[in-house]
Amino acid sequence: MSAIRGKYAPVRRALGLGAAQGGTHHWWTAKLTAIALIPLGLWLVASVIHLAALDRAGVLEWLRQPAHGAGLILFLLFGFHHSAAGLQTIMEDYLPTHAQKLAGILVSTLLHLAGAAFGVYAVIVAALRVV
Amino acid sequence: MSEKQDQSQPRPRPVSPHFQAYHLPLQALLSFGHRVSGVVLSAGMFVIVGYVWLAAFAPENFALIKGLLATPAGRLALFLWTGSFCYHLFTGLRHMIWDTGAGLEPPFYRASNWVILLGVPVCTVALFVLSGGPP
Ligand code: HEM
Repeated sequence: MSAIRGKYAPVRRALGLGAAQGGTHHWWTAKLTAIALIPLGLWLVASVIHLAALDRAGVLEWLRQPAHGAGLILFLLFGFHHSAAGLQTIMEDYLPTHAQKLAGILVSTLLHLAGAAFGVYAVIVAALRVV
Repeated sequence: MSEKQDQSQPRPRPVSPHFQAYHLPLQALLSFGHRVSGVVLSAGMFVIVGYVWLAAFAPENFALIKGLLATPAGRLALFLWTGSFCYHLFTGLRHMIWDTGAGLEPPFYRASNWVILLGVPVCTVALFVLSGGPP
């Protein structure tokens, strides 16, 4: 590792070609959300299987429990964040041109923000529905 | 590539591996599976939003999605989604071990390949049993 760094870093610095963007932050948030998603995801997957057998009234009753509603919102926030970071990595790998990468990441990020907003809003409204 | 090159002949041009002849090692397959399962889970995030949205705003259409989930295709989708989660969880945990710099030697990743191959079905079935089973 340090041998590689010693060999290449000065050139990269001299030419200004280093990846001096938000790489470290991207990496960290991807890992932190992944750790949060271990318990949240296990709980959510089991809950979804459970809910799949219920009708709407049963689902709303489940959602009304504070821990369930809040847990689902947390899952949506961490899940969409982690998903956006993951899909960004995939597009950076496969989309051929810089412009395509930018466009793809832009569209995907907007869709993820919208998904999180619509999801959180729907959880709150569903939890407050009488029937 | 241990065979000696015949020095009297010009070297053949290198050919990229034809994918039918190219043997993907288990390691590479499992690693690519992490990506595939990640994309499946990403799609699932939007399905979950649609499901809650229907519950909140479209009572008359909610029965539709519930009915869909109870069809063989719906159950299969639920099962594959659960399997994708367990798969991504196991390979993701291994990723995080690798990120610390540990476990990069062949004995570790060979053993962990088998932990994944055995752990994923166990995790998937356990989630179904613990949650009371499919519709
Ligand atoms: C349900 C929510 C989840 C979604 C939507 C999701 C989605 C994704 C996607 C799309 C990627 C990019 C794959 C790639 O670059 O090849 C990814 C990467 C990753 N995921 Fe998840 N994932 C979820 C849950 C989890 C969980 C529970 C873990 C915990 C172990 C996890 C750990 C990881 C790790 C460590 C990476 C990065 C791998 C790398 O550095 O290449 N994910 N995820």
